[in-house]
Amino acid sequence: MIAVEGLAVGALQNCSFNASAGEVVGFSGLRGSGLELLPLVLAGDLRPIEGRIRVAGDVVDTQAGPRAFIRAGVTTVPADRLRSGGVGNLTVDENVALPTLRGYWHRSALLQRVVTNVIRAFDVRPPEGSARFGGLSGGNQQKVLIGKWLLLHPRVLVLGDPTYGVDPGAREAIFAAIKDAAAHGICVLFFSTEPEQLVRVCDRVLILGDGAITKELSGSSLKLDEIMEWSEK
Amino acid sequence: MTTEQGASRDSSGAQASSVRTDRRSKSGILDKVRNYGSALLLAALIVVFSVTTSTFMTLDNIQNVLIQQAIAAMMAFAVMFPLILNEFDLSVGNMIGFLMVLGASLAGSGQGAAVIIPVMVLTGVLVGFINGVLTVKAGISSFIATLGVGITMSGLSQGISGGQVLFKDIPTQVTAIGNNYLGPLSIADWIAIVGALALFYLLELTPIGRAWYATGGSERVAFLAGLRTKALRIGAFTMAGLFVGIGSVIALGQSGGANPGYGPDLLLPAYAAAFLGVTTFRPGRYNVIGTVVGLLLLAVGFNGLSLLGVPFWMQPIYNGGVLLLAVAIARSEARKVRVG
Repeated sequence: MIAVEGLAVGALQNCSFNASAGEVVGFSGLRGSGLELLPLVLAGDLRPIEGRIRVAGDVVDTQAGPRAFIRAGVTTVPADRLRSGGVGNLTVDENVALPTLRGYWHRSALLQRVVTNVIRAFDVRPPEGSARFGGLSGGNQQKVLIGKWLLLHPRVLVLGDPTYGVDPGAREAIFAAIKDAAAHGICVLFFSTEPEQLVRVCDRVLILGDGAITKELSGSSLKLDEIMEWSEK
Repeated sequence: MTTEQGASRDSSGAQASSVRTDRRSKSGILDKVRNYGSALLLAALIVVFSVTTSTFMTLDNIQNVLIQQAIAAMMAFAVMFPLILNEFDLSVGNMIGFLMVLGASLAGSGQGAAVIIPVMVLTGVLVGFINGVLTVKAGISSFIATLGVGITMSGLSQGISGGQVLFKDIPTQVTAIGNNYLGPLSIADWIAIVGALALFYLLELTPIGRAWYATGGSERVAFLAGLRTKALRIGAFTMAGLFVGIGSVIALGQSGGANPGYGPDLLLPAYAAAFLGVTTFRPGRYNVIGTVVGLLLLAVGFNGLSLLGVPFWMQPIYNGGVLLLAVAIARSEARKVRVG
């Protein structure tokens, strides 16, 4: 589904990997390995100096910003939720509608229905689309944001540390959403600083070291101590 | 999502949420009172002045108050656009003066309304666009960029007019826009009403309006959602120029001439009305209904006070006082909107 070849920018050096539809691929690595940069590149936020990204066979223009990635079906829930994820002083509705504003022009009933579905599916509290996004707890904010990007029916969903600062209930909801998305054929790229979570939800884990993938763990070798061991190398 | 999980959560949450709903409905009424505080204050002023003066509640006086507000309304609508994007446009005062001088000098050289009106409006659009490019592309703070543009235009006004008031050959169509009535309201007020409705539609009901508010709320989030935030910001300054342009035609019509020193005095009341608007209808947001209420609050307050016999120099004092009050209220009301 997504093929990344020879990506280079900042700490990332010749980073290449593939991931298929319906697969949950985890990423781990130490600080400075390029682990924080990869989701930014996949969001179109950070323009790579070298490298090619193909989604479902088509090359994505990596220099054209977030629009090109969204159009190619790659959506990213950024790690920096408060600054990059949602607009605090807008409502939940307005945040959910943001990537597809035109789709809801003169269709506020459709927006209400869609938002109600997100709220129900993720058990967002308070269950009101008119609630101010910034007033929600971290977990509820994250649930809304994952809903916002899933609504676009992406091919690839990139999650940058989605459980950071999130309560246990919301964490379980996010894990359930990841599995559900994969079951619907979405390719999920899950970046986390907590190896325990990667073991729980991923089919495969890729370890980044010095800017490139240094190890792939899957099947019986996908264990907590293996991730820890390889991440430190 | 498995249904089991959902069901168990629902049952455990049912009681808590019903309790919460109760509490919310009470605070909901309080919120409503607070959201419409300025509107209630306006209503109170109208009642008080109707009772304490014999002239306030007369058609003549109301028409008089409203026709004087048409220009102020266009100016307030203009400054709302940059404000929504967390920017300031300090050039609007000098811009309206400059556009009037431009229009009057064209009239003096024999041009008719069909040339003058489009030139004034489109020049406003162009100056707004320049403000936007200087701020967004050149990266100059909007405060400084628009101050620079404003000062430049005040010089151009003096240059074009030679420091004189230009009143020769202003076309009758232009003066009609400023002074004539169509039914109970002046043409100028009809333009302001159409402007307000168009603005309401644009800001509240179209994708571009939502995109403007989102970009003002967090440019980064809007950018990552695929919005063209730079174009949106330049567009906001350009819209400000459009509204000043329309306002300049009304102003030229009402005064029947152009004074090169006119304009800067309109800047602060425009901001005062927009800031007051933040407290009404959609708290924490610059919005049209709130701005209209803010305008009327300023106008009715001053009109009533002058009918009660307060001296002319009370107008700026009243405007300044209301501006400070508006900022204070907006600060406590809106967590994220910057007002000053």
